[in-house]
Parts: sequence; C-alpha cells; structure tokens
Amino acid sequence: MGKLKYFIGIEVARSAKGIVLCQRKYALDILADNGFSGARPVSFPMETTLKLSANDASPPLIDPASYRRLIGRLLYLTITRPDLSYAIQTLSQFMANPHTMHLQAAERVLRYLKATSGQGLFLKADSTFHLKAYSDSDWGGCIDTRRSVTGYLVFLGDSLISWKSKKQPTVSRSSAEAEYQALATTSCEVQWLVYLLKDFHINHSKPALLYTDNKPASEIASNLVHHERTKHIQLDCHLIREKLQDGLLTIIHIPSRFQLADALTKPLGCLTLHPILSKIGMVNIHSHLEGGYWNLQHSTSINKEPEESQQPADAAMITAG
Amino acid sequence: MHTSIQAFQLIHIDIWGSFSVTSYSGHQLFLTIVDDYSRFSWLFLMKSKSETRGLLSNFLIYVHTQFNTSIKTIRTDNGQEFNMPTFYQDHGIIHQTTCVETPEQNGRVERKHQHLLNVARSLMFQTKLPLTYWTDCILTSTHIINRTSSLILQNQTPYQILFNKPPTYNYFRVFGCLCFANTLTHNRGKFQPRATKCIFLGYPPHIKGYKVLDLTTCKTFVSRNVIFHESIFPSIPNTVHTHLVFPDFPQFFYSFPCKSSQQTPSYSLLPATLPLQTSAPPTSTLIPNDISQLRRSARTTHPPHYLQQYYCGTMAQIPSADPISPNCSIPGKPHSLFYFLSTSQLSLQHRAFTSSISLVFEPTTYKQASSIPHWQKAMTNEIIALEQNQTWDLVLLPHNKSAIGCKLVYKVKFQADGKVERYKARLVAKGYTQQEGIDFFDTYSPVAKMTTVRVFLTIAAVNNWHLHQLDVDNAFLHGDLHEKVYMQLPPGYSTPHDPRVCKLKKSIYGLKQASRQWFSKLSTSLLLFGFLQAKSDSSLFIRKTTNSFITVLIYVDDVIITSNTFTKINQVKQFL
Repeated sequence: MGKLKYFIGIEVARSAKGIVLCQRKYALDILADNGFSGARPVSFPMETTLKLSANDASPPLIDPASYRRLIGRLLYLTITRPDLSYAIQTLSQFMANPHTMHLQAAERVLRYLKATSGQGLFLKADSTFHLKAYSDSDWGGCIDTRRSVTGYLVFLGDSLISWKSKKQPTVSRSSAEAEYQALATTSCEVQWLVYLLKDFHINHSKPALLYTDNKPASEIASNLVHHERTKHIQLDCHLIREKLQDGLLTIIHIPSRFQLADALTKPLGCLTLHPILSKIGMVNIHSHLEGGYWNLQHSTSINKEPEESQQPADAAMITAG
Repeated sequence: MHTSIQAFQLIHIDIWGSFSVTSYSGHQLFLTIVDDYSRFSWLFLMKSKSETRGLLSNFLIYVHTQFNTSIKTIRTDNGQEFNMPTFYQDHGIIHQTTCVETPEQNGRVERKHQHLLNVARSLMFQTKLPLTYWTDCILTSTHIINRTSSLILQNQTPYQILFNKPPTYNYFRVFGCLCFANTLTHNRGKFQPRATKCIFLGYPPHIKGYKVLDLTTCKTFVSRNVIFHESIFPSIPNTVHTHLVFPDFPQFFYSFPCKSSQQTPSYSLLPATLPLQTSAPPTSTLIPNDISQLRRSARTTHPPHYLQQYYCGTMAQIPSADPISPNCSIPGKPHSLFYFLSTSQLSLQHRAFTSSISLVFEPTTYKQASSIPHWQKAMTNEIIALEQNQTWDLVLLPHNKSAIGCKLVYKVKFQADGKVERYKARLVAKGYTQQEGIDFFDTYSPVAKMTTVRVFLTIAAVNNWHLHQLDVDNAFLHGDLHEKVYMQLPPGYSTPHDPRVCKLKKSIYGLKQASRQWFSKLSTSLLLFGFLQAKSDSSLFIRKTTNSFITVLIYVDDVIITSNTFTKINQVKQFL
C-alpha cells in the first residue's frame, strides 16, 4: 500500500521532473552473489573488437549452469538497462554451450555493472506523447551464422520506453536488406505502442518518426526501387510500406553519428557509448554514493544533434522521491 | 626354569605404554630389556615407538663394549617396532617372537613390568608427586629392583650376578624426600642462600650425584652436595613437619609444572589466589581433594570462560537483545570457527546486530520447525488463516484419484533495521505432482510487459498523476479453483491412518494454475468494477469517466494504480 516505490525489483524514484527507474539493489545483489563486489570497474560493457563465437577455442565451462544463471539474472536487469542489452543479447546465445571466453565477457559486464550499478532510466515529466524510433542493424554481425542484428529504440516524447537488440531470423544479402528488416521490426513495435496509447486514451494522430541511417532501406520502404536486389526479401518485411502509406510513421534519414540505436547493434567503447546513454535518458541518481567513478555527465556534445534529438538528462537536478 | 647359562644369551624386550600422561620430560613410553640370566633390567624412556631401533642397536654396542660378549637371542612380542629382520641378520641374532595374543610366552619381561610398576606405584603413593613425575618413579624402581636380592637368583641381586660384585647401598635415599642442594657458587652473593629446597627424584645413571627438583624454580638438576631430610615429603602438605618448618609449601603445588594438567586436577587447578596458610589453617583442609571441594562451595559461580566464545554468551551479555529472537543458548560445542573469530572487538550494538542476524535460522523441514515454539506458532497461524478462508473441505479421497503432496516453507521477515518482523510459514502444494488434464488445464497467466510498465509510468509522469502500489496479502489464496484437486493433509496435522484429504476450493501456493486463477479472479472483479481490459496488454485495466481516469497494471501479485484523482485510487483499494 502507499506510493509506488518498489515494483517487481525496480526502484521507482519520483520528483517533479520525472520518474527514475533503476535496479540498483538487484544489480548489487548480482555483483555480491558472483563475488564481484570488489571488482575493478570498467566503463563499457563489452570490448569493441570482441567477436564471440559458439565454437570458441577456449575450453568449455565445467559448470555451465552458473553461466546460465548469471545471464538469466542479467537479462532481467535489461528492464531498465538498455546499455546492457547488446552485450547480454550476445552472451545469451551461448547459454547452451558456454566456453571460458564467454564467461570472461560476462565477467566484464559485471565489472561494468560495478561501475554503473545505480544507472537508471529517466522518464521525463515535461514531454510530449510523440513516438520516435531509431532503427539500426549490424550487417552479418554474428560470425557463426552471418545473420544481422536488429537494434531499435522507441521514445515516447523524450522518454525511452522500448528497445530491443535481437539477431534477425534470416541472413541478409546486403546491409540495406538488414536495415530494411530492422525497420520492419521497429514499425511493428511502433504499431503496438500506438494501440497501447489508444488504450490509454491518447490519440497519436501525428505519424511516428522513424530514424534510420541507411538511405537505400528508406528508399525501398518508400517505393519499390532496386527490384533486382530486393526481390528475395521476405514478404512480411513489406508491411512497413503499408504502414508508411497509412501514415503511421515517417522514415527520416540521419547520419550514422546520430544513430542512437548503434548501442544495440554493436559493442561500443566509452567515447561513443556514454554520449548515447546520456541522450537516451540514462542517469545515475546514486552517483554521489558510488564515489563518482564516472557518470554520464561528462558526455560532451560530439556534434550538433539532429532537430528531434534528446536533451541530455541532468542527473544532478533530480532528487529521489 | 633358568635356561640361560650366561648373561646376554637371551634377553627379553618389551615396550610399555603409551601412557595417557606425558611426563614433564615429554616421555610416554619406555623400553624394558631384561637379561634372562641375571634378571638385570634396563629401562629406556621413549617419546615414540620409533626410537626402539636406535635404542636396541646402542644396547648391542653397550653390551659388546662393557661385557665383551654379544647378544645371542632376543625375545619379543609381535610388535611392529621389533620387526627388523635385516638388523638381526647383520648381528647374527636370533629373533624369537611370541605367538599371536600369547604374551605369556614373553613372560619374563611382562612379569618384570608388573614388578617395576608395583614399586613405582608405591613410590608415587608415598611421595604424592604429580603424575607427570611417573618417569622418575619408574626409573628409581628399576634402580632399586636391580639391587634387590631375589629368591630365584639364590638370594643374590641381579647386579651382583651381572657385575660379579655386590652392590653398594650407602648412597640410597628415600625417594621424594625433602633435600637441600647446594647452590652453585658462581652466581651466588655473600648473603644469598647457600642451598635451595629440593625434592629427591632418583639416581641419574653414571653420575655420582642425585637428581633433584628445585622447589622454587621447578627445574630438575643433578647435585652431589645434598642434605636429605628423609622423613619429610614436601609434596605431602599435611605432615606436621611441613607446617612447622616450611609454611609456604603449598605455593609449590600451585605453581607445579604440569604438562598434562587434566590428569592432576587437584594440584594444578587450584587458583593462585588461595591465601597461603600462614595463620595455621586446619591441617585436614589442605589435603588436595578437600581443597577442591571447599573451593567449589566457596566461590561465586559464573559461566565457564569457554562459554564466552559462544554466541549465546554474547547474547547473555546484551540485555537489550531483541526479545523476539529465539533463545538459542542451547549448550553444545562451539563451532570451530569461533576459535578464530571473536565478536569481542565489536561495539555492543554491532555485536547485538551480528548475533541477531546469525541467530535467526530458517528451518527447511517440518521436523526442524516443529521443535521451535515460534515456528510452531507461525504454522498454526497459517493453517488457521487457510481454514478461515475456506480453502478446503476435508473429504475422503475418491477412488482413482490421487492427492498431491504439500509442505510448509519457512521464512523470516526482517524489518529494514534487521529486527525480526515476523516468522512466516506458508503451506505450499507440491504442484509438480499435478497431472495435466486432471488436476489442471491452463496455466498461462498474463503479466505486464516491461514496455507497458514504462509507458504507464511515462504517462503518469507527464500527466502528473498519482502513482500507488498495492500489495495483496495471500494473493493466490483468493483464486477459486475449478478443477477437483485433492491435497494431503498438512504435515503435523495428519496421522498415518487418517484417510481424509483436503479437497481444495481455493488455489493455494504451489499449484500450477495458482497464478492463473488469481489473475482471472482479479480481472473479473476489476471488470465488474467498471474497468476495461486493454487489448494491447491484457494485464492493463483502464476505467475512464467524465472527469476521472484510472488505470491498473498487474504483475502477478504486484499491482500499480495511477489516477488523476486520489479518491479514485482509494476507492479501488477499498474495493480490492
């Protein structure tokens, strides 16, 4: 009974500026249970050049159950942690037969968690109800199957509400095709969110904005060009064309450096990851408790942002509760 | 029968020990060698049986040098320490062993042991020395017996037969008597005592002197310049002479060096705080046994000091300890960890906190819990709550039906400050024994999608709506059960021949369909209240009137409510 404070493991802190969701206790529990409470912190979850493979040369783990348990717990952590989504999506592919290499990568995630345990998602109070989505893909990102990775972020106004990092079900012949598939997945999510908003009696009349950094993909979506190279694309992907014609969404091309969904398709270093995280509204209201190892405040505006970009959330201005 | 015709033709060897009391010199065993011809005995103290071989080979050399002869035959029992065939072969010795479990075949040395110990015992009783001085008793008894005539040797002594000369007795003194040994000159001032009080402890081999124990330093040494008081035994404090002459004798006993104090409790456990009896205490009270009895009645009792290592000891020192905490001062051995870990360095509050954390324990089985009162109470409460809720009917189990099992799980609920909030017992059904199609059909229960949760919260934040959460007690118990599920009686309430089972009317924890039944019950009542279930997420319920808007999001038994008006939230809460 009472005001919302703690809900299924998510800590809810509210102020006039908005709501912060974080899973600090859950993250600290994971660290403590794995003996990483005193681990050396790192500033990004996965090494940028790391390519994990299911057939790794390193020896298989003697106790794969512990790896599975760890990844399972980390998966629940992604409820409020889009920054971990890509790393955990990758690591969870090796649940069946984990190798030492995979465990090492998972331990790096834990060390990143050590640095950022209080990191949470900021839902802004002064925001519109306009859906914006960033869609990206990493063509042939999986070295075992050569399938691509879809990544998307959906914002409601300025607040991040939905994201996904997922390996695509089919192999793409071109990067445009991979992006096109990602656009299709994103548009499905946007469609569902529009329905959900309608249930909340919010009329989403304006078309949702869908940002992609791949020009051919947006061109394929708009009209059927490049037939020779796209005729094999699965028919269900073409639903995006229908959505476009219905006026549900508009596709806008942005340069790659503004692509926020990058964080969900490839491992990023701290110089690229941290600005993105601050733009998608990740804050650490507990940073003063954690000795200020680093927080997202030092994100510098690497470039001028596109017109609909996010305001960097000001962590220090938010007070808990 | 006297079979040997000359000395060292046959020797008998045996080991005695190990004795439970280690002597002050660290010995526990001794090796006895008896010459069959002369019956002369040599006794060597040992710390372990492995010294046997070295002693034996030294003895061979000793015999060869001193008596210009060699040992022909050695007779021992079957001890492994005597099993060294190459050694015997090198010296051309015949090694005779006894049959298994037939010590009488080695009777010479066994009989000698009996004799030695008889004498040693009497020396011990006469002097009342601490048991750690048994080695001196046994060595002295050997010395005496070798110089005592025997009927079997035609009234000659073993010494006489072996050395062909009669022994001298003029150096003999009473064992354990008081003596004064001259102090050494080099550290002695003009006005320092010329002698120290000692106890006579026997005759050291091959030295013209006496082995004595210094009563002030408790060290043994050998001295030639000794004056004996052979009627006074300092270790017996009740002799009249002791009091008259040496009023401070008891002090010696209180600081008596005892390596194995547990065997000499009447001496070593006496506290040094006992006043020295200078003012002529009754002599009888100074008998060690009486002293300990007197002590027991006189002193104030407090817990043994080893109990300080217990957690119960820690708790006993903390008066402000949590009254709910179970009284775990069950005596028993301390955990071995507490030899290394102590809470005594912690502050009082911290110690109370540590003990209250470690004191609380959650039983895993009914058997464990049933012996502890507060868990019994928790279990009774749970069963009463279930019965009040009309969770089941007691019926006879129909044919071709099987009852699923159940168990109690136990959990301690803590407050934020670490205090025990309550002890909770929960009856759960063993849902894994349910059979699909008979005991349950569908188990799916919708939960809120995380995206919905975030959208929900974003909208609440933007519109500045009230956000409340609702915890439903015993949520699953509200669900009605449509299937006929039979459950065995809870542990502790069933008797082996009771044919009744519980026919469940409500879904209880552990059933496969429990969360589904709960959700359907909750959603039905919400729909009755005027809510609409959202198509896009079935765990989302929305109710809109002209001026109010309220939404409810359900995640199993966690419920969040948001509304633009506070009164509506309260209405819903009341309704639920």
